[in-house]
Amino acid sequence: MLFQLLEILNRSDRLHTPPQLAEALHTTPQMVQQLTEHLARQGYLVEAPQCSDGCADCALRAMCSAEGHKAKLWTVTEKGLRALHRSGGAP
Amino acid sequence: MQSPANDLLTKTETAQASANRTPVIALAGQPNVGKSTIFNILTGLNQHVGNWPGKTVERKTGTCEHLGRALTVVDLPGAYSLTANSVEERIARDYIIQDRPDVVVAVVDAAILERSLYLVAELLLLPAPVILVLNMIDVAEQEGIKVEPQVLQAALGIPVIPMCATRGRGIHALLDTVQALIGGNLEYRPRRPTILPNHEMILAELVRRIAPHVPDRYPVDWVALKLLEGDSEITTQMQETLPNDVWEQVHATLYEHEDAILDIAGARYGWIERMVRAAVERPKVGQMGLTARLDKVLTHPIWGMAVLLAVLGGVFWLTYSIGVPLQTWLSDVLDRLAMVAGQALAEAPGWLSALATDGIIGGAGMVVTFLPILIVFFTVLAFLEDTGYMARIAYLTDRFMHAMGLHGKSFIPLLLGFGCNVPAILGTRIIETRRARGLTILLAPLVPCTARIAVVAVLAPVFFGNRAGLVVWVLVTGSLIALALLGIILHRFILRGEQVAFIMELPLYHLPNLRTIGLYIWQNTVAFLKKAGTIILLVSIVVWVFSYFPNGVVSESYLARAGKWLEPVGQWMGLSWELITALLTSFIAKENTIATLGVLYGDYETVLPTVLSPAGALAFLTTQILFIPCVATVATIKQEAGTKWMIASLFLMLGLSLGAGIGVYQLGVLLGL
Repeated sequence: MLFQLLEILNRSDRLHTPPQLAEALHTTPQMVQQLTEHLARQGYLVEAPQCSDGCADCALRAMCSAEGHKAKLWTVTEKGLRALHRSGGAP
Repeated sequence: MQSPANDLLTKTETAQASANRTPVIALAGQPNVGKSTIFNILTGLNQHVGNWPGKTVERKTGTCEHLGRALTVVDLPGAYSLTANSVEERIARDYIIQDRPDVVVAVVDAAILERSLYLVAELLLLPAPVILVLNMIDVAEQEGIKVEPQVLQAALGIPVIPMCATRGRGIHALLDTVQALIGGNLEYRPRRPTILPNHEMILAELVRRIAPHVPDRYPVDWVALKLLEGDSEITTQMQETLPNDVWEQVHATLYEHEDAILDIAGARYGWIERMVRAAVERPKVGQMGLTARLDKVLTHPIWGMAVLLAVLGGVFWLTYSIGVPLQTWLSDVLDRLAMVAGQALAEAPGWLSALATDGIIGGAGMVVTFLPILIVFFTVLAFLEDTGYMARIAYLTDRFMHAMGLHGKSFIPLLLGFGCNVPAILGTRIIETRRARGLTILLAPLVPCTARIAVVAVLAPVFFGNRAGLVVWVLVTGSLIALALLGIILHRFILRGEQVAFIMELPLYHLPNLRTIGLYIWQNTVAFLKKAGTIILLVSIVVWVFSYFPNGVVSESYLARAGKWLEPVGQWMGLSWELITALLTSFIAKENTIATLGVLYGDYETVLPTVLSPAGALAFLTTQILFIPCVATVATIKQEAGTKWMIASLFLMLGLSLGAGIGVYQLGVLLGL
């Protein structure tokens, strides 16, 4: 399931939501969240920062990071791409 | 397929182990599953709190009595898994392996079984029998989640106890089950997660190599599995324990199968899914939570877009009905202020009066007129953000932005550009990657702001009479088409290759908090005034100096000289040096084009149609709407993205506007306009 999730992310460079991924993996959004967090703990995914580098001196930086109001974004790391490459799932 | 660890305990062993000492129950579970509540109910006042040996993690032990028999209860630290990711996870697994409790009670949250069962999958591999406690069963029921304990028990092959610890429900059943299991009166045949056949062979090879060297207390299968999972602590221990030649062979195998963890953990999740599918019934669509129900509509490809268009319509309506009249009013105030300043400085040197009225008030003062539009946009932004809808906009527009190599989050800043390009540039702060942010900053000036639209709306009737509306529409639409084409070109040929996929966890919907919105507007407004205002003031003064000196006559100023120097370029578009100068002065503020034409031509509405052909007029308006953005926008680009991006934006817009102007003029001439 973890490999499959990485492969889906690697095949398409779009935004995916847990419900969409759940449909593709024939599982629940809750399970996708769990898989996402597991992959992140193992270093295959990383949570994208909520503020861009241009926000370093922004007065709203603290507010931007407020929990619960922002969408969490996850993306594949170099380690994830290497794993896909080794398995033949990445170019 | 064989499980990694053999069934190490039999009924007899369990019974014998506990015959001569007080049986020990270890409570295991993730944080916040109600483990401590169960511990407190079980032990009451008979608790001892200390630290785990050599660690600063709290260790809680206690005793309880059930059916006349004493039991020791150990509360293990909260852990998400039994891999050495944290000190809590190491303590939990070391205790179970080395101290061998008689029973491990795995406490899980019944409402989020997917999350909780991973730990159970790992606990089942350790040498201690496990009882599963489905805590918070009442919360799961309230959320419409129906868990069948008997079905789960049959699927897992271990005792499952439903519990609502906060109400004391299920505690006696747990203790009865513990006694039965310790006494050997309960069948214990766990169905453990398995691993893929190819990894089973590798695991067998690892077991064969390490078996003679693994310390007695550790199950060899489990150690081999942890090595294959890449567990840092076990790897270090085995590196120290194994002879060098054996370690080198083991290390080579592990290196070759570095990503085995994905298959092993993936198989565990597959196991969890089978358990959940068998025992959990989730609510139907009509019983879903508010967020899920709203998202059914708001993220729907058709209905979601319809709602989004309505929301965007509301944004424009608010901007034009509130922001623009206020901006016009502020402009009038500034005009009066300039007049008062001019009168007050009547006796002062001419340059000083002109600096105050044209340079400072006319240039930097223009920034102040942006404020109403900014405040309206910041309010809408804060509202959309605080309710959680902003994330849905990003999601919905992603498919369109994707063609340009951008994600939906770029849509918001581009939308802001219709009011003013300055907040559009500031709005790019919400974009995560530097590349996407830079690309959006480059594209934002192509969104025609109110000032650009106003200038072409004023000038178009001068040249095209009652067909002016159509001309303006073509110009605005053309700008947006240019934006899309430029985005596609930049994405495909220049800023390519960095785009990545994202998983987006949409936040729950919230009622907006007025204080948060107020704070957002206030801080953004102050930040804009402080940062952009200071730079704009400086640049405005510099540009004014070039338009005033050497003798105070605009037509003889350095700016005019630059216009005349650029006249050859103007000729390719059929434009005189006056029109080129008008374009140049629009750098301070777009409205300056009209003011400059007034200065250079006097009654420009009468003169212009006589000196400019329709082809030249179209070329002028095209160049005007695509020309480099105003100084406020350029300064903001520098501030937000740096000098390189600012220069790139300037050259891009200059090349695009002049190229489009020349193209339109030459085409017009060919068509006989």
